[in-house]
Amino acid sequence: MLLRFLVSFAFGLALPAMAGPVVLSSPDDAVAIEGELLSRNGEFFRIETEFGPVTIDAGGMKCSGIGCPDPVELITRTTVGGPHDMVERLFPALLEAFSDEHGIYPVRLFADDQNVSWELRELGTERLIAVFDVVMLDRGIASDRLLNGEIQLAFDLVQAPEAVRQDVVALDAIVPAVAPDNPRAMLTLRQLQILLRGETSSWAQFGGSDTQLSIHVSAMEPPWLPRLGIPELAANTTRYDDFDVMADTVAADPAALGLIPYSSLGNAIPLVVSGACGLATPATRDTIRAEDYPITLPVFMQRVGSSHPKLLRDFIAFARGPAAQSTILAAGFIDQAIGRISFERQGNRIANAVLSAGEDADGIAEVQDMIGTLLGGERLTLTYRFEDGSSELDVQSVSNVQRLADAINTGEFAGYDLLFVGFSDGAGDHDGNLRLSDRRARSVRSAVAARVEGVESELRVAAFGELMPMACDDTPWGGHVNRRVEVWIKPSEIARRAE
Amino acid sequence: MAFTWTPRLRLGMTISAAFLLALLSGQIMQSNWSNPPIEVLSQPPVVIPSSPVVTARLQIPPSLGDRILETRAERGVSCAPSLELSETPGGLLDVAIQAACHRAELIDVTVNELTATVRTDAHGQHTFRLPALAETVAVTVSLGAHILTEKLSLSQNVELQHVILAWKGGQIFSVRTTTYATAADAGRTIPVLQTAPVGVLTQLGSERGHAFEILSFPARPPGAQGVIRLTVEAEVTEANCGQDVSTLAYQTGYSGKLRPTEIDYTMPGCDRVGDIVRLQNLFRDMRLAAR
Repeated sequence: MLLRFLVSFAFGLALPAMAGPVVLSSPDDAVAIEGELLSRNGEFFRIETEFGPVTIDAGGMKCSGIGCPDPVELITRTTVGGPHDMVERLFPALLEAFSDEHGIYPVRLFADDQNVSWELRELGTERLIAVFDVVMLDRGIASDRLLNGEIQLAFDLVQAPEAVRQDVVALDAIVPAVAPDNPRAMLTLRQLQILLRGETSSWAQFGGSDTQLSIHVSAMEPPWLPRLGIPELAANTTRYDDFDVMADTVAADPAALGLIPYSSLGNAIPLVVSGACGLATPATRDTIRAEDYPITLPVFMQRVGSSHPKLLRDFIAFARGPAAQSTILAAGFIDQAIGRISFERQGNRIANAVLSAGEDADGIAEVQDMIGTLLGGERLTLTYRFEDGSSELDVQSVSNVQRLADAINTGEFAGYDLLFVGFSDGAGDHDGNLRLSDRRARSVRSAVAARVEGVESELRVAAFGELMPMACDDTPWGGHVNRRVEVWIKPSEIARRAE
Repeated sequence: MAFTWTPRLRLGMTISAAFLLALLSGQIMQSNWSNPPIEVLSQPPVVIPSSPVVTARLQIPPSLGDRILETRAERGVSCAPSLELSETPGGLLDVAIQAACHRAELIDVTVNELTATVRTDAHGQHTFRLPALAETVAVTVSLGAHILTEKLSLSQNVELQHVILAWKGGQIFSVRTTTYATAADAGRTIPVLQTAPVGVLTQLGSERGHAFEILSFPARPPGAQGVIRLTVEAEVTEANCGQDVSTLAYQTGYSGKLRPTEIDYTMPGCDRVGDIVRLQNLFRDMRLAAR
């Protein structure tokens, strides 16, 4: 096992090659390059040719000549790092699904709890083509290891510095959760604040038992705490790096309250939190994908540079692509497939808009206008939201710009008009909110349009200010959820007829 | 099959198959597979015991009666061996080996990729039941020069998930479940922690050869959700201390396929004889249905 690690740590360095002539040729022999092999980095060969030294991606090419490396040395070796739930749950799920698609047979090698690796063999020939070594890391240090060249691929909830390339590969959410035998299923945000701030020492105040309340959260610095309106957590808060241990502790203690990632709820039971105005959004696949649930977290896949062996590039592309989405879901995380929510399934939101319009004739006319615009359409689960107190899109939404453009480019919405619908929170006057939501909708549309090739679908804009709140505006939590640009699709034919 | 059917043999086999099925169906009624192993507990909430879930053990059905065999022997039935596979409701496979000329012998049986060394009885028979690990099951029996192979495609798709340990020689590792699934009552108001056994353990093989054990769980037990965490334990003994131990493990992956793990573990030194080592990461959690 030690040897395996030494070898993989050497990945990324240029290996001196045995001097000698080589000929690299394409499988059909149509293209061939001849020269002296100077050095090699994975599948990248540096060759002294008659035109000077060139670097060639030799993945998939034939090598002949005495300078060619031993085929064994061409095996892709990659070290993958991240916290336990990422490298032992998300990564294996992706690797297995990738293997199935590529005619590869994965075998996991287990030396002990800390030393796990994977061998990928070609189906039929049993030829070893890749080795992945798994390194379990504490949360938040994967990017340091990437920059040091100790690992080549990392999965983490923590955003990496700019030098590291990262993709949002899955979604997660922080969910308040209790033990199965805690009878509570709902809390108001105010009650949650009282419990988390330590303003009460038991559940007795809310009709529960009077045993000592305990609070359990991730060891990661939780950037979403201000959004909950909690400057500081109670003194008796326990922090965990291993989310499974946290979930088991919460599930076993009826007086425990945990803030647990949705993907790691285990046997703990999620609570639904409602605002003072009564609006509540439970954490579900749709609400997390749409970021209607207030504390969603992107799961990052990170790497440095782009000169990876072909197999690793293929794996990265697979993990980001549509074929991986059902696997991500099966592994307990939330996928990023673009779902559609029909108009009929949004009755509560519409009713809410009608109620909040009051008696005012202008208000009612505007609600009618909004319903007329959206009727017959479907809302996409992909939504654009903004960093707290900023007009910058948040991380998940930035990733959604490309994701939507990709879907439009592949023709997923051919025959539909896309409508970017801006909404604001309830702070400030209505006219100001209308302008603000319109501006946001236009900026998201131009970001998407810049990545769309051709005009298969028309991209339109509408804005309705604070007309259709999704959460109570009285907290940062609610405001964040309400400031949004939704995306609706409508069959082009119907959209034209309505004009 | 490596021999020709004669009408008399066919009659004999039909009778024995019918007898076997009768025996087996009696067996099902006693095993955990007859009812969903998840039992939803009523209120009030139950306190969970700290000991691991005790799993039920499938009994290998008793061999066929002497009389049938004696009758067949008198009629001069040859010692050509036979292998029969049959499907039993609940995603189970019954295997019946008949090898009149291999009485009380150790023979190797391979079910898909798993091999077990079993001993035939005084009449050269061995029957066993195990969960079908794939939609198509291939069984191979090696009897000296005779190699019997049979395949069976299951008609029923039962959603079971398995963890498997396979070894040669004495058993060193065994699987423990350390948490319970959560069962919700019909109204989903007061979920309670599960105390009933949720898995079924099947063991096959001999210390003198190959053996394996399969721990099976329903993938979507009605009314239950959550995860069952699995650890693997091994006791450090005089015989294994300090040794390099190789064994195989399999687990149902997210796509429903069995996925292999090769274990190459160095047991702690002999100063730790009597200790139990626990491997937390060998198997993933069993996830019961999606939330």
